[in-house]
Amino acid sequence: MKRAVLILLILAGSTQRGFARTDDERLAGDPVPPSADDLAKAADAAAEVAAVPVDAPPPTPTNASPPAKASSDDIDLGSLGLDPNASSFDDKLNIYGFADIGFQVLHWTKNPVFFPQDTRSFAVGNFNLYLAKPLTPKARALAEVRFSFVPNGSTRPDGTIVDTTSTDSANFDRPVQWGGIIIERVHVEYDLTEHLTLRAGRWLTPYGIWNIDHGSPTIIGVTRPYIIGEQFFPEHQTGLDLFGNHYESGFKIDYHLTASNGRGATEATVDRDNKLAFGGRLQVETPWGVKVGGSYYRGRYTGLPPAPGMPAPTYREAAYGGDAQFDNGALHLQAELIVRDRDYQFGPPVTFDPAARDLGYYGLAGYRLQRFWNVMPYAFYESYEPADRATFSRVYAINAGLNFRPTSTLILKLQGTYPWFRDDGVGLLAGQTIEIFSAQASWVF
Amino acid sequence: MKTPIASIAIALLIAALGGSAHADGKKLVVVVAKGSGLTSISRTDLKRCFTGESVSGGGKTLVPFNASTGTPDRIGFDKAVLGMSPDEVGRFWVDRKIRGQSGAPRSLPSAAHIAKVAAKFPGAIGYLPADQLTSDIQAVAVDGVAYTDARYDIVTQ
Repeated sequence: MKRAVLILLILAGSTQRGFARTDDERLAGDPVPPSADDLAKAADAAAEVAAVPVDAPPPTPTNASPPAKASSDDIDLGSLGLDPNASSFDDKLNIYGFADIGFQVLHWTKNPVFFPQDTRSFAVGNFNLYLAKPLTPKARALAEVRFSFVPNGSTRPDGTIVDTTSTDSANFDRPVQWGGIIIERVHVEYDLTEHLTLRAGRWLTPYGIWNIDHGSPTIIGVTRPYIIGEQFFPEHQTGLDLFGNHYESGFKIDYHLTASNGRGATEATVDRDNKLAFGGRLQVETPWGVKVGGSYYRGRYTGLPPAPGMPAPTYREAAYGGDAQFDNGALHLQAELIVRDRDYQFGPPVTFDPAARDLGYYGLAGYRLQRFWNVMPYAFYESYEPADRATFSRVYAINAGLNFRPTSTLILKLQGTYPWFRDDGVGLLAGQTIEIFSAQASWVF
Repeated sequence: MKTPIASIAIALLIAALGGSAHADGKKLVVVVAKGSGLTSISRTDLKRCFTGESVSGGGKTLVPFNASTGTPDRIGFDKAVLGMSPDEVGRFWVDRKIRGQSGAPRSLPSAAHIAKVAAKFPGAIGYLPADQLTSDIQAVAVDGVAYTDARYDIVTQ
């Protein structure tokens, strides 16, 4: 834990020095207090990267100059990119993203035999790049790609480790390890009406809280709760998402209806079973800070045949999710419950009990202070009961940590996690416990 | 001698009241183009409009324009309408960006710019101190409360 704290402080210190230099440049001649201005500028920087409201002509870069005493007659709207007679719109390509680096210390209280009892490691977790571009006043495109070091270092099912080391002919054939690119989403959207938008492409499945909200800067903990990563719902889908929202008497209703290739070994390019998957989400936001949502997905998974002529593994699945959030001032509460039912028809794992159910949930509480780098102490409890009990029948975990946000674009986290596996003799990890200490710095650029 | 003292006392009282009014902040008037048809907006819709959602008014999709960041006008409006401090506003927009959602409204460098844009740009809506109102823009009541009403609470910080 001490090492994790020390490393976090070093990361924070070095990053803060970088920010200080930027602030000095930006604040030249600016009379406002640096901290508030830095955050506000970050907000305006966000304005530059995403869609300007429909029908709006292209904005021009905004200088952080102090308010000018201009006469209305002296102002040329054209020079601001706001000529009311202009027929153009903002078709600027916006590039931005986020990244994170972490350090983790993990200790199994009993020697797990199959893997090391103690590990400690730095890791570059995410380096995601966004490309956003309005195409017409009613249409826009968004792509998010994650640059990754995998597959190098990944463990294959047979226990061997992938090595991507190659020789670099541009550098005297010295060894170099190559990585991969993960397309998180790439889609185009068109506003059919004020309340309905059609999205086509590869998108993040609209379910729960922390699937679309997947970036490390917006996740409160160092990692998302385990069940979110387990993908009871597919994390991505390829197809259509019809969505929108509607306000009525202070209540906001968000809705999604989806049709896609469903889950599969090649779902982004080929639907191997020719069967569409369908899903939807409904969320109600109340004027009192409470949001309640429900999600549903139903489809068929089809993998790749293990050998030519053999049947491909396939199963039908249905997933159900419920989530709730409550925000009141500095207090934040959220919880999700996810269930998945699978019905194998070909190629089930030996230990799989057909028609069994995966179930998991978590509940989180956090309180954002206005001091100590806007720290949010948080804690969450989670539980996961898998259908496949080869490894364990149930795992529980308590997580507690601190989420610092010294500026809106820099997030520092410290977390302790204590998972324990139900001691019922079922599965390889029955009765095991783990102690995990993590630190992470993530940033938005 | 009493008359000058009384005058000074009255002057001090007026100054004190003036200072008090200044400390409470100047009223920020929500404005659109004259004759736009939008005379009143709910605080909820105003918040939605300035938090990246599509809101219509006066037969047009409203295009929000903010005061420059860090100014008393911007801080006051964000606090009164969005219910957020500058820190919270910063986090709000950065998080939206990572979710792939739309960004913050464009900010303009002065109240004069906001007045001009509100007057000329189709669907524009902004806010400025009451003493910066011009003849080609009109004030919009919020939740039916005009800025001249004592209950009006959108003020500079």
